[in-house]
Amino acid sequence: MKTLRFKTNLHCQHCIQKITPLLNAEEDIASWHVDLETSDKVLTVKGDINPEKIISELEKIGYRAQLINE
Amino acid sequence: MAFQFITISVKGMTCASCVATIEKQIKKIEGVQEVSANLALENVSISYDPDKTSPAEFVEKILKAGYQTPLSSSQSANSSSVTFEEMNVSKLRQVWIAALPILIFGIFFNNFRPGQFLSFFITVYLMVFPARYIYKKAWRQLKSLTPAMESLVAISTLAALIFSAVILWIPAMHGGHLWFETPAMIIAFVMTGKFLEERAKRQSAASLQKLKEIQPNKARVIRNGQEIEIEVASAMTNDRVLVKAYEMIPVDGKILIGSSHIDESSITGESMPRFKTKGDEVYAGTRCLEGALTLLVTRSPSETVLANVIAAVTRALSTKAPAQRLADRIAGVFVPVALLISLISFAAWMFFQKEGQFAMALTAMVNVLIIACPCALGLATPTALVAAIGKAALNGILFKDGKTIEKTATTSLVAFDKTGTLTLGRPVIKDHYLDSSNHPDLLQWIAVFCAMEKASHHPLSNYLVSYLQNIFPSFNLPFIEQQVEVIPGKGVIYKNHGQIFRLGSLQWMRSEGTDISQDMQIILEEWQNHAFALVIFAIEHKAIMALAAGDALRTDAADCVKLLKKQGIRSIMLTGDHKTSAKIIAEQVGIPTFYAELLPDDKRKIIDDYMKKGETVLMIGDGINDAEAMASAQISATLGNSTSLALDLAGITLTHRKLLHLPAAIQLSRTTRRIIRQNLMWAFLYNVLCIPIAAGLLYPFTGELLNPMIAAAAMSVSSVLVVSNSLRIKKIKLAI
Repeated sequence: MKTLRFKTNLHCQHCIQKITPLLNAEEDIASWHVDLETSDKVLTVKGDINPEKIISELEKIGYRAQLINE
Repeated sequence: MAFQFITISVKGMTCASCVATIEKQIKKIEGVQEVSANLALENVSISYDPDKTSPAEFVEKILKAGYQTPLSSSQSANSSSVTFEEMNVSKLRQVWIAALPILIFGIFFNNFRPGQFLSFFITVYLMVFPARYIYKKAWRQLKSLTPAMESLVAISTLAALIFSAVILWIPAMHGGHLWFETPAMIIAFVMTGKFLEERAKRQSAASLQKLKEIQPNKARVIRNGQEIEIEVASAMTNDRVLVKAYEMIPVDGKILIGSSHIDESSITGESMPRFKTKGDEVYAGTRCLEGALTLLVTRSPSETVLANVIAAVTRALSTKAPAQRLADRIAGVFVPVALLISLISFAAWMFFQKEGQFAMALTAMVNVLIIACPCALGLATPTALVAAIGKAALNGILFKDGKTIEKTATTSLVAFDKTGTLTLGRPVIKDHYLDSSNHPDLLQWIAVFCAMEKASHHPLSNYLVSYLQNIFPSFNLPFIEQQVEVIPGKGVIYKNHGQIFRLGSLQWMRSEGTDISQDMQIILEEWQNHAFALVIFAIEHKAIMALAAGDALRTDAADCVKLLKKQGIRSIMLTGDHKTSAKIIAEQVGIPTFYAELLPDDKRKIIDDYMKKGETVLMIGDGINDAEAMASAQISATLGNSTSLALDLAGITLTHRKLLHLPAAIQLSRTTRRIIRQNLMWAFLYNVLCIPIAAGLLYPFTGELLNPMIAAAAMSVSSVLVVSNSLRIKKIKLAI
């Protein structure tokens, strides 16, 4: 199981509500959460999933995400 | 134009004519599209055009028609928290204690003056207080020109009371026969019958409440990585829901993470839990038996299978036409006829009699009215029903109400649920097979095997262990729980001193390359043909023992079907189970027609089809999965250990859990119906004979209007006949 972190332009609870159905339905994601407190609005995803897929899913509904390499 | 829909609860509806009255009154309002009043749920559903009318108008109409609704005053809703039953038990006791002295005075001391006065006051008390509702209802019925039993009771008891009062108070009339015991007895019996029915009606309304209770109302969802508890109703599709071991699954969804055995008996009726893992669908109202699951909600909470069952049961209950009582039907025709004859006799006496015609005409009219409602008519149905309900209860059969008894007699087809009804509904170990049964270590192996079973927490494990402990009496279970590894959906492994013990499904054994002997193979195939569940125990890739588990048929299932056939009743079987196991059970029981792999909704559809073909269907089931079909069928029955929902819904409960009691219930109800008919015939015959006499037909011959002694004797004789006829029900031999 990998932990991926993305910098996003999610900015409020409403944005989180919008991405919820998408990420929930993704079977390979074990868990995820967004930290709106940080300036990068970091989305953390745990699971065996390709980061490209998450980025493209979010783009479909109008959000940008960028993988953070640590 | 958009219609709106509202359901208003209505108190005070007691019969089919109340339903018709309310529907008629509300339909009159402009803008009302459709109205459906429901007796059992005590409510009325209205679809209306909000531009033209409003619920306030409906409430007004309901109140005007003489019924109550909580919408009109919140106080009346609260005050009904004194339970209906309590109120009526004490009321009933009052009525009987009050009526008894009147009966004694009336029969033995008719000329005892103080007794006469006492009887008068008690009768007035009975009418004004405990039996007030009869007169209220009669008034309503007469106003709406739909007379029923209450109208007849009210008219004749009032006529009897007033006539007797006149005799009592006016000296010129002294010596005339007094009728006080007649109204008192009629009131007492009518109220007793009513009480039994009311009690039943309240129970059926409770069943929907029960169904809603099965649905868990909280769900734990993950929102933005946080676990929070929410109302199930506010869960949305694509929410992730967490379910722990032994919890009820709150939603319909797909398993994302985890796997578990799921007890789906509430939906499918099948007792064997099913193993479900990632990607499998699970249903609200089923139970997770082990581990923890993360689910993805696939249906909104209002559209789950369970929610659909609830909606369907509600619909079935509210569209079912309430059965009209035989006695009510007769009364409906009889009241106008009796009134007409009394008026005709009044007019005839006024016309033909030359002297004192008014007193004569009045006496003749009142006589007709009193005679019109003989005790026998009031007693005909309740005495038979009380006798039947008592007889049934002694034999392990609970009838919900009188209507059910009357209806059950007409049953032409019985639909059986399979699991839990024809069968015991829980797994039973059918058989075992041992390879190398002479091995010296056998007992020790079996001990290990049992310990592994225990550690697996598999749904079958307890049954298996107690089965083996019965066959091999002396062994102690080793404590190996810590070393046993559980592989979900497959089995368990235990390693000891380099030896590998395996316990699990046949598929798993095969995939592990376990060696299964030729002999065992043959046995296993036979078991599979019987649709048994198999458990294999292997040591070092060699299968040592096999066990078969299956659902066991109730011992009296086949006899029950045979007896029903003798009664001219066909049987069918409905099940959610697979065709193969359904076929085996159907053949064993002797049911030629069966339907398998059904969802709750399918069961109802099949029942509806049979009803459309003109069959009177009795559905006997035990689970929530049968609720829809049970609510839809004309008559429903259940066994005493069923889910509380089935118990509440069922018209007949077989408390001893014996299927043989079903044909007995039908036999009893047929006898009861016959007796009720005979009773009504008697009452009718009595009327045909006595009304003309009361009207004064014999006057030209006897010079007397109505000989009170003869009238009283006729009334007593017909009452005694009816009561003793009803008591014959107690004597019939039930084919159990």
